[in-house]
Amino acid sequence: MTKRSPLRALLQFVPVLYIVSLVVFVLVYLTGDPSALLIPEDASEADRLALITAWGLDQPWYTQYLHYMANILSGDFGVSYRYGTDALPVVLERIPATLTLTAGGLVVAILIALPTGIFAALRRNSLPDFAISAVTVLGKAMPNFWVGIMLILIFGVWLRLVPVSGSGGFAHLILPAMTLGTGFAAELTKLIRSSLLEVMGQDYIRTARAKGVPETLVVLRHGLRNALIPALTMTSLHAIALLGGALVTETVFSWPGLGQLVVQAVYVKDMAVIQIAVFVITIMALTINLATDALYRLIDPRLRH
Amino acid sequence: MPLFRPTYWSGFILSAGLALASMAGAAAAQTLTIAQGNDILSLDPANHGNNSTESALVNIYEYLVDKDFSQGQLRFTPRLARSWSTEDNVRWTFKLRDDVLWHNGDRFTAADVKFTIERAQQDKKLINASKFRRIKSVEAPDDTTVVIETDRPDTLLLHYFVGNGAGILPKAAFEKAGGKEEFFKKPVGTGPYVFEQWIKSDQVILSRNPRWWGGTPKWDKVVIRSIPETTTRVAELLTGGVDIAVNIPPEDIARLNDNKGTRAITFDIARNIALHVRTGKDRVTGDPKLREAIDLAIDRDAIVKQVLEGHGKPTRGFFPPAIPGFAPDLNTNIRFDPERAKALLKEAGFDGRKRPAIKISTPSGRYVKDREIVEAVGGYLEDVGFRVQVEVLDWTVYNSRLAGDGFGELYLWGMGSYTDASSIFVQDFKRHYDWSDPAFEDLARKAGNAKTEAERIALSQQAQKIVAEQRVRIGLLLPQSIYGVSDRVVYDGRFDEMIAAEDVGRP
Repeated sequence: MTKRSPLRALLQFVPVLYIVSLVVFVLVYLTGDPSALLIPEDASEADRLALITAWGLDQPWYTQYLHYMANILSGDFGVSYRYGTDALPVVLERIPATLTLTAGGLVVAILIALPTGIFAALRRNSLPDFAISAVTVLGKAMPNFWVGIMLILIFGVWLRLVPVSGSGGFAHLILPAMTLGTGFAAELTKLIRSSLLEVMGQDYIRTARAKGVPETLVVLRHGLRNALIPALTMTSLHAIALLGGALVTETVFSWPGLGQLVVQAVYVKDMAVIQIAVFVITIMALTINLATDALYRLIDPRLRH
Repeated sequence: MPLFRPTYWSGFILSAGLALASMAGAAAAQTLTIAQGNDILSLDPANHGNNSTESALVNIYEYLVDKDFSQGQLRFTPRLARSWSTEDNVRWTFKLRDDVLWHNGDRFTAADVKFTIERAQQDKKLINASKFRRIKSVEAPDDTTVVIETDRPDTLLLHYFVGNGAGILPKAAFEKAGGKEEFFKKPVGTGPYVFEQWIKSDQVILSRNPRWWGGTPKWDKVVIRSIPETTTRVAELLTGGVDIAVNIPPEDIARLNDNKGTRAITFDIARNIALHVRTGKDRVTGDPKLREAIDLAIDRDAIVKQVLEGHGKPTRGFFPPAIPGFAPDLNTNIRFDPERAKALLKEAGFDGRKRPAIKISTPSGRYVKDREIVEAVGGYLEDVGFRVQVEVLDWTVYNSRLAGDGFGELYLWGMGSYTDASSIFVQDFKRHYDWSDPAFEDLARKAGNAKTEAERIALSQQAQKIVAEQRVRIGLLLPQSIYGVSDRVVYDGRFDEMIAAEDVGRP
């Protein structure tokens, strides 16, 4: 890990964004034009052709692409075919919901995984450790879709503790965050357990113990701190995946995040929305990478230079 | 444009504590909550081709006339227009109400009607740009009179003033907003409910219009939610989170009826499910005998009973009886004759050892039980000697295939939301089915110039018979719609699947 200035890192992303935009454009273009998905069922062929001409979809792809890129450089990110409005706000207004859900899922995962993982490592090969192992395998094996519906049926329909679906309040966040969090918690628990076990066998832990440092302090201050690096890596990768939209969870709970938007946009080949969403997700991924780097340095002084 | 909508965050924080409390009395008596299967696409009535979007918009905007199916056949009733008349089906005079106010307080006049029509004609990027294509001129001689002329006799004129793209928009407010983008951020209509907020992929919130010309609207607030997952929609209904939930699968009917406080309603709708047939010479379905065999091999009754659990009707035709111009014989004379089908296969040169291969494509989840219907059809065709391949496709791919004519021999199609059987003439039969018939084309030409409604109806009935007899389309069934409804509201469903909040009562 070398020290990078954030600005330089951002600049390195310009060519990446450009290539991504070209690839997305060509892929979407190759799957055909959106007219058939937009017009009413009883529209005639003439109506469809008129719409294609009006949107400039009868031009060759490179003309469309150049036109599109020229507009972007002048600050115009294009119009959503589906919504008939500027595409940029259509994407940006989904970000708060996506950030909320991502944060909620990660918090749930960390709150479960951190104590459980430590406990399992400290009681290695005990009955509780085996039980935790079994539960984590189960947690990883259960599909999100099923977990979500079970949570709805138990906490929403049966116990009536929380709202079944929708967004708007903290209560609405509980079930989707649990759905996203539990699966990841299983993965994270296993990782924290194994990296903590590995660290605990190191020389400096033995030194600390020999100096008479209490075991709790040995684990928390000397062990955990070093064991956290791989957990942080995995969490940041997971966060990036979630920022791209947690489609299944969003659909089950009708949560208005990026995932639903992007999939719907792909369905109707809504080029401008797809492009902006890819930009936004890429930029968020970069930001998380930079933040992770900073956290690495905070946790591990050896990485500061 | 704000990068993040502050309303989202503030709403989130404010409601954090309140959400649990408000759960208890979800429908605070005066709020009507409707759960649809998808989000609305637009607040612009002229810029979407989607039934559930229109279902939300009918509460905000109003049509000149209403479509009324309550008597069993479509008839037009007054709405913003008090009356209308024509002598030659070319020049139409509408007399408008003089007591209608826009949500912003402006008075509704004939200029608004003229504006709505001309705007749709001029903005070619609108999805419903072709809605008023037959209208040559619109005049507004005074505030309550609109005179419309069509390019030639057009007995369908009233049909243009209902459905997608027919909501009347305010000229002054639209122009003052400086374009559609701005106007539709906070749109203004004349309807019983006023637009408040649209949280995309989540909900549309409307409030009562206290100055509505039709009296005081029934509900303080109307919330139209988008809940794509069926299980979640049902769960919301069971827990009282919503009052009406659309598109309930037949297998959930008993559950809703057994639960205290909810019930399922079923009703006829403007939709039909048919097999569309590619009749090119390079395909086995190019042989009329084999097409007839397909028609005779399918037990439509059994499909309706088993797959739809009885919530539909078998048909060989393409329109339900409430649609003007439907062909009645096609809904009654339904033959299921597998023996004759086998004989036809033999006559066509397939003796049992050699079997004609057929591919049937279907979407999954687009229409009620679409995939299951096609699987059943496939089974029946196998029984009489066809070799069948069922192809299940994602809706996007399905649509691209349709546009590019990339299907095999048969594909399932659910036409809907029509108001007249002359829509049979809209599709390009040559392109989609590789089929042309001089008699049919003659009928299409004549229907476009029909001088009376009776003439148009007769022409489209003949056309349906030709299509059914030649098995270019093989009608299968007329599905019903199934909604879940809470006992807090009184609702029976509407043939056109519009949920106008004013149609929903309280017990």
